[in-house]
This record gives sequence, structure tokens and C-alpha cells, in this order.
Amino acid sequence: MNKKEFLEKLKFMLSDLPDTELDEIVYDYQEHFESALMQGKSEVEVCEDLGDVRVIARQYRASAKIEKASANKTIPNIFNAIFATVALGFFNVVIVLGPFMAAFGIIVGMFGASIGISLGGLATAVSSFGVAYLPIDIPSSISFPILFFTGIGLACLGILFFICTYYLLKVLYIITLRYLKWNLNVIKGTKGGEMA
Amino acid sequence: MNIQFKKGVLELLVLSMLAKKDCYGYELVSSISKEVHISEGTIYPLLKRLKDQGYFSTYLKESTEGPSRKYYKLTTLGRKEKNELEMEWDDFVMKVNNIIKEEEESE
Repeated sequence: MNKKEFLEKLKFMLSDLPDTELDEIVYDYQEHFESALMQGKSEVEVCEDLGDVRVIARQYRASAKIEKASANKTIPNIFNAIFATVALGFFNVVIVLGPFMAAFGIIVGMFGASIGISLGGLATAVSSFGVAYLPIDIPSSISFPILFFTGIGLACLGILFFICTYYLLKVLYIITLRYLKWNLNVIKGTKGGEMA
Repeated sequence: MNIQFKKGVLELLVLSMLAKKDCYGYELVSSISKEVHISEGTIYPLLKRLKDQGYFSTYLKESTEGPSRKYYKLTTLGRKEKNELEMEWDDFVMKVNNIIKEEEESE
């Protein structure tokens, strides 16, 4: 591999990064080539010393995706960050993917439950007007206020549950991000051939 | 040296070199790879990450031999991080040495 091939491949593998980031990265390797060539090394030698361009690109990608997930807290971003880190080939991240998915699944279920409870409560409250104003035959023990306030109470409980779940999701997000960053710090600077 | 072991030390190496003087990328990379067997290309992602974390700033400076070079300069935050890592490292080395010496004495 020569300089041109190395840089082209690096650019290709990082093409989804912002242009400013990509320019900065490419600049570093251009300068590296210039300095190393001045020391009398050949382009092929420099490429060999640099190591596998794919491993290098994956490290930048993982950093960039984790940065993005920190700056912009969305579910797709955290998944991208997880997958970019898993792509580095560290088994421990694969191990954490299981518990993460389980926790994420539980939280999604809790969101569903909280929405269900809120809607159920709301429906109960609305239907209480039916009891009060419509000529429907309903046992007298179910009065308008009981039905109405039970409904409102349920709806509030559901909303509270929803808010709690939202905070739980936030906590999971932050823990996951911290774990990914920790991985990056432990693995930084790996010798391509030995790890990959 | 064990690869797992080397990885964690790289950050300390970079920060220590920059604590002495500002360096350009190739200077850091070639000094480190001379002592520690490592793919040179993987030091640049580390440099970028540490820069993004605010441990150093960069500036361009003309060189006598050719085009201008990007120099890395340690920030206050970087110096603090370096001191912390160095303390952890010293502590670690001391503990390992204690155990090694104990072993030798008991033999």
C-alpha cells in the first residue's frame, strides 16, 4: 500500500464523519507521511508502520459515534455508538450488549405499561360523563365522582410512571455511554495486527 | 511487553512527553514506537481523542525542513490528568515491586 491508497482508504471508511473532522484526521496522516518520508522511509514502509488502515478508521469511528451519542442523546445514536465500539472487536462490549438489550427491553415495556395505564385512566374519566349524563343503565354503586376521580387518579399514576421510566432510560443511557468511553480509553492505541 | 498492558500506558506516555515540551505528531509517534512496539497509526486517534477531551491544544508552526507542522501543547487540564495518571502509575509499580521482592525473599 502506498500513501495515496492509504489516505483514499481512510477517507472512504470515514466518509460519514463531518467534513471538518475528516479533514483534520487526513491532515494528521499527510503530515506523518511527509515527516517519515523526509527521514528516508519509503511510502510502503510508512504504511506498514502505521498498521491496518481499517483498525485506525474503526477507532476514529467509535470515538466519533460516542461523541455524537454524548452530544445528541437519541436512541439511534446510542445504538450506533454501541455497534461502532463492538466493531473494534472487544469481547467485553459484546458481553455488555446482552444486559443492555435486556434493560432496554424492560424500559420499553415499562413505557408501554405507563401509556396503557394513562390511557385507561383517561378513558375511565371520560366514560364517567356517560354515567352522569347519558341514560345508561349502570349499577348505582358506580357513581360519577368515584368513576371520574378513579380515572383521573389512574391517568396521573400512569404519567408519573412514565416520567420515572424516562429517568430510568436516561440513567441507562449515561451508564452505557460511560462504559463505552471506558472501553475506548482502555483499548486506545492497540497494535492492529495483534488485536484484530 | 504484553499488549493489554501497553494500551493503558500510552496516554501517560503522550502526556508526559508533552509536559516536557510541545511536540508535533511525528515526533510523539516515532519516540513512542521506538520504545514500545505499537502500530504507529493508532497513536493519532488517541491524540485526537485527548485533544477533544481538552487535554491539549494545537497550533501550526513552520519547520526549517519543510512545510509547517501541527504542534501539541498541554493544557492545565492535561497537566492535571498527567499528574493523576503518573501517581496511579507510581502506585501500581510500587505495589507490583513489593510483591516481586517479597517473592524473591521467600525463595
